Amino acid sequence: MHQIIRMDEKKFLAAVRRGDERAVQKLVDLYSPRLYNLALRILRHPQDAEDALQETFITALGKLDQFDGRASFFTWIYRIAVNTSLMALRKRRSRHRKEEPLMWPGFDEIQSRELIDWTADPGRTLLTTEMRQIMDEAIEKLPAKYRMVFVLRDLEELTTEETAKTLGVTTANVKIRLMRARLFLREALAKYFHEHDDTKAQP
Amino acid sequence: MTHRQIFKKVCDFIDGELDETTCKQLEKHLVACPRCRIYVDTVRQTIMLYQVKDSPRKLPAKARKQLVATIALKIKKAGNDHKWTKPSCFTGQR
Repeated sequence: MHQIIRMDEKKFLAAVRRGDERAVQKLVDLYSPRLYNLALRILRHPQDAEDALQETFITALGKLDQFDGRASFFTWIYRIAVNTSLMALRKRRSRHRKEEPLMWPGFDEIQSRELIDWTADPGRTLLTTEMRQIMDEAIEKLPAKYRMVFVLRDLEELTTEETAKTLGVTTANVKIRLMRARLFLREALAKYFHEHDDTKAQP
Repeated sequence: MTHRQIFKKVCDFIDGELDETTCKQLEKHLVACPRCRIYVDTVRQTIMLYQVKDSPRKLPAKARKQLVATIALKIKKAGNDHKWTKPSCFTGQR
């Protein structure tokens, strides 16, 4: 079964290479939904995501001689999309401003504060425009290495191992970056709910 | 288990990456400690809210059309320049 899929993949890629219009359309329709959302989650800007998507396909086709068929074509092109989006993110950031170091709350800081349970009432967790804005601002502040791990693990739902392989870092590294990213993002939401709610949990 | 240990293990707990014994100890603490429970729940909720916010979007039809056209054009151009080579999986060389 596995071999049959691979054979089809070979035939299909050969047709793409010949410039077969239907094959090119199939290539785009097969892979662009996942790759577009990946780019959008990393770059958070539709036009930037579209550009990264186009660049991903062009790079992949230009590098087709390096595709050895050991991984699936999807895994291979997905990694190209990750790298393309990451490079676009870094380029965009260096144009605008330097990345600030990430400040996430430590245990003692959290312990000294009041904690509000903002998960109890589902009505309070509907995404308002203000919340979306706060969430966008918070993720925009995340330095690229934390943001990449958060996007791949929590939004793309890759495993720790897959994320580590995709980014070329250790699983221990993925875990620590994910923890910091989650705590940082949680902090932004906690602050929002603290300002918008008078129901406070007893310590 | 202490509050500090819970704080350190919150992500492993959420991701189901704790061994059974540690997981049970943590759950036992959460039953007795509202603060830590709120903490774990709000970390989980943060992830969920971002998942809702970033739920899949469709590539606009215009962008798809343009993408297909650009790729086809690049292939045609590269074909003329003999730039793009066969993937090595085609020749059986690994």
